[in-house]
Amino acid sequence: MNRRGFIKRISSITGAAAFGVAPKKSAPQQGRSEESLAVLVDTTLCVGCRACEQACNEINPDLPLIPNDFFNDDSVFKRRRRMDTSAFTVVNRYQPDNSVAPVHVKFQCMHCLYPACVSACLVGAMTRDAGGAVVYDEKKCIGCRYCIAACPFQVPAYEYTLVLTPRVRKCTFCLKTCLTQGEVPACVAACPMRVMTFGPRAELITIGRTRIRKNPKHYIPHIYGEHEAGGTAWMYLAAAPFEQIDLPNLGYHPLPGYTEPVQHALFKWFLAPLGLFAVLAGAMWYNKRRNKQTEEDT
Amino acid sequence: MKKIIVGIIIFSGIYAFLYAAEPEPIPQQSAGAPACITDNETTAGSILLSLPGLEGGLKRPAVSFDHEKHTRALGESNCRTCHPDSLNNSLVFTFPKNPPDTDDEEALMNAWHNACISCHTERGAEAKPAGPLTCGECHVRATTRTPAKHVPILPSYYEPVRDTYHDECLACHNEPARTAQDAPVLDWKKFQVLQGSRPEPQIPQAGFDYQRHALHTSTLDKDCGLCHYLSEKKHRALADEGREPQCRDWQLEPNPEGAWREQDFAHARCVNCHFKRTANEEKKSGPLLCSKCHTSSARAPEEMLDVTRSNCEQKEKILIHSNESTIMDAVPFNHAEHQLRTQACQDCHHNGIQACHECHTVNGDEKAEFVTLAQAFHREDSTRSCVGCHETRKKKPECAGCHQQLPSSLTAADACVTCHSGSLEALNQKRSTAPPESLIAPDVQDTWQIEKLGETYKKVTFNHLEITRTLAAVCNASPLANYFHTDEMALCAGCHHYSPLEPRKPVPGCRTCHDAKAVNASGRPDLMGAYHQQCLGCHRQTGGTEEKMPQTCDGCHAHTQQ
Repeated sequence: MNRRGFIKRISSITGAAAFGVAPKKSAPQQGRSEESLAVLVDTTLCVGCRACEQACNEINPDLPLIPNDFFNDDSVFKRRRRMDTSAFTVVNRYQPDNSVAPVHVKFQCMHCLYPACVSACLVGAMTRDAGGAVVYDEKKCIGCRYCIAACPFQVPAYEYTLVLTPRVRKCTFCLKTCLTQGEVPACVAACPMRVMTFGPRAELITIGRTRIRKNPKHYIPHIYGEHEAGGTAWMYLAAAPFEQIDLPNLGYHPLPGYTEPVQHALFKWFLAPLGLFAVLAGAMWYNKRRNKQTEEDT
Repeated sequence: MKKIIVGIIIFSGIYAFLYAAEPEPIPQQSAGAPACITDNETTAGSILLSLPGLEGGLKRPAVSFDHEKHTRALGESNCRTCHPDSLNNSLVFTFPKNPPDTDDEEALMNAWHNACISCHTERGAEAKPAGPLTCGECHVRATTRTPAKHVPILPSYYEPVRDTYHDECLACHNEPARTAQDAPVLDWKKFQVLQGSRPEPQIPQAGFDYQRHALHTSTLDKDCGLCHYLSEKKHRALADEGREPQCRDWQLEPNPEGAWREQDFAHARCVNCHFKRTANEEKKSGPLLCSKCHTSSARAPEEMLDVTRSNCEQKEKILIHSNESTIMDAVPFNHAEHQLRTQACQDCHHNGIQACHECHTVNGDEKAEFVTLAQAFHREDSTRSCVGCHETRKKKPECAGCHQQLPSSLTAADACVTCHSGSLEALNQKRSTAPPESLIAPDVQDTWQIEKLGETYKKVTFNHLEITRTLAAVCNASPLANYFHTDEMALCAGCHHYSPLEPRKPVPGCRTCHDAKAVNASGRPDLMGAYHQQCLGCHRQTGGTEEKMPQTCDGCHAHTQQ
């Protein structure tokens, strides 16, 4: 086999692998969003009392118990917080350009319809429950923290301080604590302003649209999360531009739709490893023959 | 090896040379040299001098020209240094003195450069305060501001829904399809979106309010013709009729070849007159400095209540109507009251004081840039339209508490007839100023306790009577509120929404609709949510004191633990 033939063969192998790689963006299946449970957050109502944070801390016994005073302390709003190992939800305060009064926004896991963390997890420790909750199984987790890197909303946190039993920590949608008992999530129940409405996703979208239509000047005419990243279970209404209240512009395609076609095509029929082995075998055979020839020549 | 050593030596030599040859500091201007004007007095602001049509584009940033700085440096009465004289010995406020004959912008640029730089050089040589001579000192990059432009795209968040939700879009867009045939023609691509920030005028407008007008009228002995314009033809017509020109006779000055902007007319009239009066050393003369007329703070209507409004033979109360046939009845309008609540006639009338329908026709006309009669009165985003101004008024703290919870005035069921009553009689109507106690059903207590607050909070004392009295006082204090809250029960509608309201009849309580336990499937809040949204919603809008209108939890109900 000459040099030219060798290069030809290699390129044909890589070409085959690349053939299926053209990224296809999978569209949301219709059924998926209709069935699942969701929450609509109307940020225009929130007064920043942080009763939701407190309720979350109380309902999750494995979170470190935080004293009452912390939730009445207004000074936490001075900095922009994010979820960590001690809190599954946080309320931040923003001062958007178009508003005189500050705007409060509650953050937690968005429970995406097409979760990037589930797609990234190697061992299936992150799964999406049929009801809509994205749940974490610490028994399966190997601690690779790919979910943390994959999440576009920077939700999951990792217990770095626990050397032997670290876990990924994130909002559970109160799946075991409330939803299975037929109750609403603890934060939703605790909110005195009823900022959050819990229910089937399709109904919430109707409620959100009705609110916008009834008061068009009050709201940005968009439900954040209806389409973002393929749709999320937690959706937001706001009077301020969403970028200004830390809800990122992610586009409307499911994020796994960008990565999965590449990965799945690459490993289809075990093609990539086979290709690699074939290349290695070819190289071995070629080297062996060349050595043999040089031996013969000398 | 030899080569490497030589290389290192050469390299280090170059390195050492570069470091040793540090540039010498630029010599500072000596004390005797003319310095740039550095007076710290605030000026009106800067004008941006730019030639957007220049071939090949602008090579340097536009010049931000501070006119007042120049006026101060040259002396207030030395306008002729830069501006040419016209035929009748008055100044023309164009620049430079000898403009090029061609329309070529490059020639204009050269003329500007000649005029500016020659003056700066001369004054510099005479050791007078002078402007800079190097390019970068005038052509300073201004703070970047993205120019606003209308872009024919939908905001990105509409994209996934653009074809399916036509009714959603039309819910907010002001111009819905008028007929069924119109609807398919609506093209989402034609919706225009404003992108970027609209550059604010760098110099505040010289507002000519009632106060200034009255001042000029008295100083100039009511010689209106000094400022206002009348064509020869109209002059003769009036002479034939044998009467003096009245307010509504004054005309817009013709624009020579359409080249003059609005401010050019004002400058030609005002500054020339001020200039002449100053030169003749008359007792009262107007200012010549920019910032004296172009004040950034406008006089509020409340400060001008005692200023006599110009007499244009306007009636106190008029019936707004159109000469064309319309389906709606005419609107009674109290002109006298509105005069007191504006800064100048131009707040509503544009140029001149014609009736609205003379330019705004039912179907739109070129004269009014195709703003139809209906739009001229009803556009919510305009400051000139009735609805636009009233909507702004409703955002005041004392009104916003109720009105932010109520739908916009145009969507209410009986909205149209509130204004379109068709007779002047309506202007005499007044909301009953009877004490609010007479409206409340007899068995309603003055105050009561809101209980069932769980374990965390104590009971709340709810003072129903005091709230009603406050609302009544707010409505009685303002003629506007008094006119529009004609139904005496309108006071109650802010809280008792969606309920039929009649005096002394019981009103359904909150818990009739707001369930104490669950959120309704339609998203209607439960009782706790309803209380908090209603009470706090009003308290936050009104911005009252913590004692009267608390905005914190403890302000209404005390913690049980403490």
